[in-house]
Amino acid sequence: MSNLILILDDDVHVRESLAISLEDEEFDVYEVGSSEEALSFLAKQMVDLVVVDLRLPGMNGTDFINEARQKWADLKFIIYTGSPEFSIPVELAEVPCVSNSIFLKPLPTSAVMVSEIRRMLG
Amino acid sequence: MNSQSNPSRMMLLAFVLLAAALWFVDSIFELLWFNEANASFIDLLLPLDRPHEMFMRTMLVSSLLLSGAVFSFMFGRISRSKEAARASEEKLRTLFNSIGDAVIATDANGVITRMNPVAENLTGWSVQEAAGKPLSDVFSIINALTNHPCANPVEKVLKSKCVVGLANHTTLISRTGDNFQIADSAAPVFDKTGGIAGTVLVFRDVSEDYRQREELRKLRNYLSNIIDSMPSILVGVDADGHVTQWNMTAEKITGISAVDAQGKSLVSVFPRMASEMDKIKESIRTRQSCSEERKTRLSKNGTCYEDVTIFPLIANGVEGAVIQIDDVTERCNLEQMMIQTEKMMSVGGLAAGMAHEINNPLAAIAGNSQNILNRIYKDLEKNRKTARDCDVDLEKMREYLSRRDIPRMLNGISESCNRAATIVSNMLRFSRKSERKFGQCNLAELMNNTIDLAANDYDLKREYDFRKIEIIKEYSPELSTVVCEENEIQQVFLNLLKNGAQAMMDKEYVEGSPCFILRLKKDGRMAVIEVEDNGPGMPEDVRKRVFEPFYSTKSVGRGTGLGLSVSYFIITDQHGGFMEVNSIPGNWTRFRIKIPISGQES
Ligand SMILES: Nc1ncnc2c1ncn2[C@@H]1O[C@H](COP(=O)(O)OP(=O)(O)O)[C@@H](O)[C@H]1O
Ligand SMILES: [Mg+2]
Repeated sequence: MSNLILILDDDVHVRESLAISLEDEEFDVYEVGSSEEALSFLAKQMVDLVVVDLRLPGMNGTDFINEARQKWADLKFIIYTGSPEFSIPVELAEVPCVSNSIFLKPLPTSAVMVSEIRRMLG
Repeated sequence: MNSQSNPSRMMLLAFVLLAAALWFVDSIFELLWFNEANASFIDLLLPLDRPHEMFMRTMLVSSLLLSGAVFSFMFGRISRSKEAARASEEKLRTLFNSIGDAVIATDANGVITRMNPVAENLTGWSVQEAAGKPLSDVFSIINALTNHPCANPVEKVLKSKCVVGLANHTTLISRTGDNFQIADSAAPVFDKTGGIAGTVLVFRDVSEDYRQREELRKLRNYLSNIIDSMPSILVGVDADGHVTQWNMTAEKITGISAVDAQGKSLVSVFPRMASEMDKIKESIRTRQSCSEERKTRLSKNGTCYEDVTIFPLIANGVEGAVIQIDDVTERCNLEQMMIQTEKMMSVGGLAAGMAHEINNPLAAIAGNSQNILNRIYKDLEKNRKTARDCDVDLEKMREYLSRRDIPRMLNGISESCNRAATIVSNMLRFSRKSERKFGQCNLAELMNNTIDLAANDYDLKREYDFRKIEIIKEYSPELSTVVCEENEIQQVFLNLLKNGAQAMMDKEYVEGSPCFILRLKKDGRMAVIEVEDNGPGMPEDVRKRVFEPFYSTKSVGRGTGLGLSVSYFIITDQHGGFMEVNSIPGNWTRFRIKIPISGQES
């Protein structure tokens, strides 16, 4: 059974390109464009891991992770951002459900992210 | 006059009285023994009736009076001449005593005969005590500079029969131990026959003069010390441009000593002043100072900046000028550095805002070009199935695409995308990030690692072989670890090595071969890092701009113009250090970095 992954990013092309890479790696991928959408999506459809952009319209990525991990304790998160000034927020640095490696856009190859996803999902 | 005439008159009077007494006594004798006529005493006193008796008495008395007159006259003369001698002696003494200088007279053997009160004062001996002593007992003198006893001047006079002056710096030590600076001379005294009758030594207390002269000397020293300790070059010239003053800094810079420079024409001892000569003359003529700031000059250490100021001298009727030259290279560099940092901060601010906007599309481009490659070439079940569904032979399609260079194009897209990403991330380095980790770092190790890294750098390898470059390491053992952000410093090293290597590849070596000299040293509380290459160097206009963001002389694709500006920012802003570059076009380029060993105080 393949793992379910949700991609949260406001840039549709980024979302799509990442989704395609992950699909080609045999994941089942869903996409949303905002934190609010993501929360309501997750209420209906549970996934294993969310790839989160930090700078988002409305609720930002950090707040989203904080809220989502209260609701769904099993959910894992990977940060994928184009804003290097957003380092891993302190309050999330020690949280085991959030990957310690932060992925900066653009990734020359998705292979590094794929292997991190596999590692987190065990 | 009374005392002078009295004795002779008294003597005359005595004779008169004696004559009268004789007369009287004679009368008494007559009365007692020869008074045959029993005459009265009155008759006997004046025996007018006895002519013989009268004649005898008159003769006796008058001869007595005559001799009395002669005696008293002679006595008067003698006593008068004695008086005159005493008076002249008195006069001489008064004269002697009122001479303002000290005077000591000796006899022909050098034994003191007389001394005036000034001499008594200075020597501390009274005349009574000193008279009869040899001069050297009373008059002891030493050389003020060496403290050695001086030769006795009187002995010299006696020997040479000439006037002898005292040597300079003579100190007289008095009987009580006081010291006096004295000056003056000893002279022989000749008698009528031309033989030496004695000597006279005249001297003067010049302690006050001496003190004043000493003070003047000290003041002069003090002033020249001030002039010498100025960090500026200070050179004085007269109206003809001949050197009159040459301070220590001038000595140091030119290597010509003040003594050698004195009186020479300025241009001959300081050739680069040739261009200033007109201004100096003009300044002397118009009596207006004139200054020129930031004069650039090429020295063997690269470009220097100097402030040159010319002050005309108008005091004391002396014509001339003083030229002051200050090396302001350091200050100029500092200013340039601040301007640079300013520029880069604005780039940094811009970059931080833009990074997100640019990185997102780049992520899509990079991601999708990889996706395309995956969907064509990767061995995926879905690829095969879709090909089958479309009735397409996957191998044939791949061959077609390859022949049409599609993979190369896709690679080109990825590479360009990566380059854009590098530029953005370089620009981002200009913004202050908080999570940088400062730590103790061994610069020698870091440098060596970076050399390995550069040798294996893919971009570099494509252009040349790093191993063909000779690397001379001059690491001072004095420098141990330095507090810095290791990654950033490594990036700086890498930038410098890359630039140097690229530059040396562009040079055609007639003699020698590409060579780096890497130096690590300690300078007070700063670590100094020098990266020197013997490449083509760079002209002045390039050198001035290399730290500017996006300034590059390389073709698009080969250089971004960010390497040095990023390095500069890392060193000056992030580490509180200094970074400068010097170069002699055609010969060498040297980057020098200074960072505080114990980290930036903030
Ligand atoms: N070692 C060197 N020798 C000669 N020129 C150099 C050297 N290092 C740097 N430069 C000059 O400085 C410019 C700026 O360098 P840099 O900021 O690293 O940008 P880039 O290397 O991308 O051009 C270079 O284009 C080159 O002209
Ligand atoms: Mg460069």
